[in-house]
Amino acid sequence: MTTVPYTKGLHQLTGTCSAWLVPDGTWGWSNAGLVTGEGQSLLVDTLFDLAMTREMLAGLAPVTASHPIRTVVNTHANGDHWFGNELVAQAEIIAATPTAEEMAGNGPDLLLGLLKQGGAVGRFARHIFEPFDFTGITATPATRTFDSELTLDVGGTRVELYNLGPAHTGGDSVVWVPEERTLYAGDLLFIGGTPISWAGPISNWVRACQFMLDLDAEFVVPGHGPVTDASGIEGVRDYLEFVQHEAAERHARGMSPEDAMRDIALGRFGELDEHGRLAQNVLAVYYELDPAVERVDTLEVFRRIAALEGWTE
Amino acid sequence: MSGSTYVPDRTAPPRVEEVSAGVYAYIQPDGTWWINNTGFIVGDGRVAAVDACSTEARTRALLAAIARVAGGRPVQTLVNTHHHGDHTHGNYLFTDATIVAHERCREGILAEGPPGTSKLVGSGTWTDVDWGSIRTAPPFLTYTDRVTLYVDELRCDVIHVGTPAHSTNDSIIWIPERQVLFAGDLLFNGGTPFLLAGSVTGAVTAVANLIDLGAQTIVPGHGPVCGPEIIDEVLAYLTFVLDLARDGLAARISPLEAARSADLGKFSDLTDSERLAGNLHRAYADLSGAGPGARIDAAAALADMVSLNGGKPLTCRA
Repeated sequence: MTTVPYTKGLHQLTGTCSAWLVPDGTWGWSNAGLVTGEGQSLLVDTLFDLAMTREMLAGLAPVTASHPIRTVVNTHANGDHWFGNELVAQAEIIAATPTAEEMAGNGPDLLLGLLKQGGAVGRFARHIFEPFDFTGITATPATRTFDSELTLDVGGTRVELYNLGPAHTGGDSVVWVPEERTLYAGDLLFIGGTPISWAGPISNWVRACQFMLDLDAEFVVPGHGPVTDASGIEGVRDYLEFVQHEAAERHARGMSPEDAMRDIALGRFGELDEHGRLAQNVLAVYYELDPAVERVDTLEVFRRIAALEGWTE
Repeated sequence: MSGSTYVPDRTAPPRVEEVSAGVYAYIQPDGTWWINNTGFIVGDGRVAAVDACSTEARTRALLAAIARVAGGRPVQTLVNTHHHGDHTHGNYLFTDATIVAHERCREGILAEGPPGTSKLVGSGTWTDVDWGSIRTAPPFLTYTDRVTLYVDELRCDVIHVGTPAHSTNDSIIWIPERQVLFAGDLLFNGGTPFLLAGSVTGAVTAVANLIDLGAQTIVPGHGPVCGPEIIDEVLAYLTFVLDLARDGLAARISPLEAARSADLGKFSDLTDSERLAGNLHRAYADLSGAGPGARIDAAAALADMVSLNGGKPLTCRA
């Protein structure tokens, strides 16, 4: 297959499928997608703030002028995939039911609060989130939900939605365009960065990877990072299986999650950006193995991620 | 941040692949228990199909896919590769087709009956499946050796493999001028081959005979379309099973004990690995002179497969 350059902006993949790529794919720098049909189009995700989303909508205008966005699919409830929704509020906004539920508790306030934190976690949060502007955002949630799967007709283009979560978050939808063999995977795929399992179970994420591999896609657009193919899906699966194995083994030895995250040697996976996300992934494995493990709040998770990446008090 | 305990357990949607001009494979992920592949060949005015699916819903989806590709041309012929329900339950939905298969395929389907009354399906071996309203529809044009089917000018050789192998009545569909082979369940790609209902030694012969065809494109009974390399991979597994059975017989241990103590090695990546217990039951019979395809205690073999699966019913996502 031809390689799609990883440069900011609109990249046409097939006759009806395009990707809006936003390097470098680290925290908050997410991708979106556009599927066109006769006289209309479907947008996969909006971006983290209004300025970024406006820039994207302007960049898509050559296509959307004649194919207006009538449908938006939010793949999941992390803000970098839906905070720009108010700018496309004229469209029907679709999300999986658990995603719609999570959006209610995942608004900009969470991030604004994180940015105000003192100490290392505050400095870390400002380091990764300072480029974005979370002020003035009107949280605009989904207007239509589905549980498991939904098939749409976008001006004659068949588009299939599958909720493969909970995995990365409570609901993780992928958008599959079978005639073009193009898959928009949302944050079930991080390419070049470390996957993070906020919700888990990781075993279900592994299963979601197999589902995506079985689609036999030609173009795979991840939530973060460059356009990929089956090899990118396999890479995420391999990371998840590695963490699952390493964490489970330490759980069996009675090690605490915090000790386990420091004890695990990432090997080749250490080259991925955001390797500190291991902190949350270890927790996800522990939660799956033992539902009685005490839950750790988001602030503490960020503190641990920061610590693993060298941000100490 | 978890908002749900819902965990899906389903497979990716089936896909149609044109493996040669007018010749299509219908691939159903993930190819595990009761999730088979089928195929169809589109001529100027009609369609010939290879196998149905295991459930009403899956077979209706297959027929819809054929209709999309073939633009409404009728399916006038359906060939069954063997009698197992994952390939034949949906036969009854091919209402306008002449259903063709080996004589023992017809016998097998009639003996088995629809899933509602089938002892096999009702054995509790597998997790529950919504089969739909399956009615038994056996082949009504049968052969004992081979038959040639023409789709317009395209010659398709339907050949009984000559020995019990995966079942007692395996046939392949070989399209010589395209070097395309529909192998039925003689070949699994990515899944564990399953020989309980046939013969391991017979399968070695039947699978090895495939090499001489010189197929370039192979549609296995389960798993993605592949090339001839799959033949060696399946042969390696069959040899592995026979070696385990020889050692197990010599050590006077049961098939289940032999399965439990086996090191699967590279075969551990194959899905449905618990089939090893069933395969060893058959291999023990083969090596003890039972004769290929002889009746053995299938219920005991299935129970051992469940044991090898940790006592849990085998996962079926059909």
